[in-house]
Amino acid sequence: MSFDINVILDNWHYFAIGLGKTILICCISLPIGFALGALLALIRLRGGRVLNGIALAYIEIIRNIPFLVQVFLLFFALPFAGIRLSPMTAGIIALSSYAAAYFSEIVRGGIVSIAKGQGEAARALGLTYTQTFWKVLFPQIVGYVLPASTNLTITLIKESAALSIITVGELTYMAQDVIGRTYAPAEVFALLALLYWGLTAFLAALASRLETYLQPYRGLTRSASPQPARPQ
Amino acid sequence: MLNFSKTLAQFDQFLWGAGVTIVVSLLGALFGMVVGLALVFLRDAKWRPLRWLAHLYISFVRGTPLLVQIFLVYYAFPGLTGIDLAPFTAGVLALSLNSGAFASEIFRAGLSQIPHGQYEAADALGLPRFITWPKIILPQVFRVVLPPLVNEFTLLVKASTLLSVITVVDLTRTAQNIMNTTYRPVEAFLMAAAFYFVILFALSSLTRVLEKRNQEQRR
Repeated sequence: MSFDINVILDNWHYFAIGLGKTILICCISLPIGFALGALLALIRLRGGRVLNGIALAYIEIIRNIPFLVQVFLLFFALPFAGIRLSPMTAGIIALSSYAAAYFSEIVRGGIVSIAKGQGEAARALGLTYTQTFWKVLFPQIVGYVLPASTNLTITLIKESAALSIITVGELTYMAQDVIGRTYAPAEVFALLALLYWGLTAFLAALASRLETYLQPYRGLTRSASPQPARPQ
Repeated sequence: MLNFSKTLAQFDQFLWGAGVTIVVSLLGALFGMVVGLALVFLRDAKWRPLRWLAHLYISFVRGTPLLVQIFLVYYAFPGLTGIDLAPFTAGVLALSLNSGAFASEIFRAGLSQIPHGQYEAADALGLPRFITWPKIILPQVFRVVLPPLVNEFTLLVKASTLLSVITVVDLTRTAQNIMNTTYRPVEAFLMAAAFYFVILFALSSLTRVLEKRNQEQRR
């Protein structure tokens, strides 16, 4: 079988729409996931025993059940509770709640990793609270949180491909749609892989730039791996 | 509301599905280790194009969704070569190729933790290479590498859910089949979720225990 580039050229707008939707889904889920994750982290650090237990249970459940099963559960369970959601909304909810569990561990790790003495030392040197936060604590938290968040973001992009199974019209779904009409799986899946690869590589490069920008004094801090991590 | 009677009647099928999930993941992990070892050697190869190839491979595997890799193996590969793969074979192949990239990172990290003095000491004692490697280096590497390898297996169990898409009858596919016969989707997927939780929680606890033991030994 030969490789027919025309399949791609004739259907480029389907891929463009799919890529746009994949990016849109991630752009919505990411901030929601981060906000919920930060909240969960605070509960785990400052909440009472009951709240802490609930937060921990949530995190363990999300981390020990495969993403696809979570997606199916959400997609099929909510209609039974009388809530009708479009696949897109269900997908965004699934991705956000998944991201929240992992973000909470990242944020918690970032806060815990800074020794208490850092804040006390800054105060002893006469820095104000604002100065202490922005000049001393923040750069260190960023040094921990940013690389881990980059990896998680890339994981989310990759996991979002699974949403095609519940017919969310993102990149993978659109690619399958094109195959359904052209019967050219090799060409389409090759392009699909290249698009994801480009997207994740671009993000990794962007994040490593951002990291150098936000952390002018990085000596002992961890640097972002130039490569995306494994889906958790 | 929830009614598990019809779903529980199919308990055997869930057990079978769980078995398939574990077998597929185990095979994927084993062949993945072989691929990973090969990549470790390729990355240190004398000939530069081989090193680039290994880097490109690892970057590709880490930068694309597993679902797309599964599609490439199951749909695109037969289209290009004319070799048809059974879903199970394609699934194991996709998992192995994927896992290999991550296993190679684990092996490299493990090898890099062995101090050079260990090789020198073995040399000074006059030990030949075929004794130094199996008796001195590898046991130390194994201890360092074991917890991340168990973790990698945990991740493979989660990843294997995607094989349900190419009709491998694992735990996820079983839940889908039972949903179709009982018309009880929530119960079916809750059952699958419970099975997964038991397997994955046991595995992640094992990783934690192994990590802790390593830390205590190092003190």
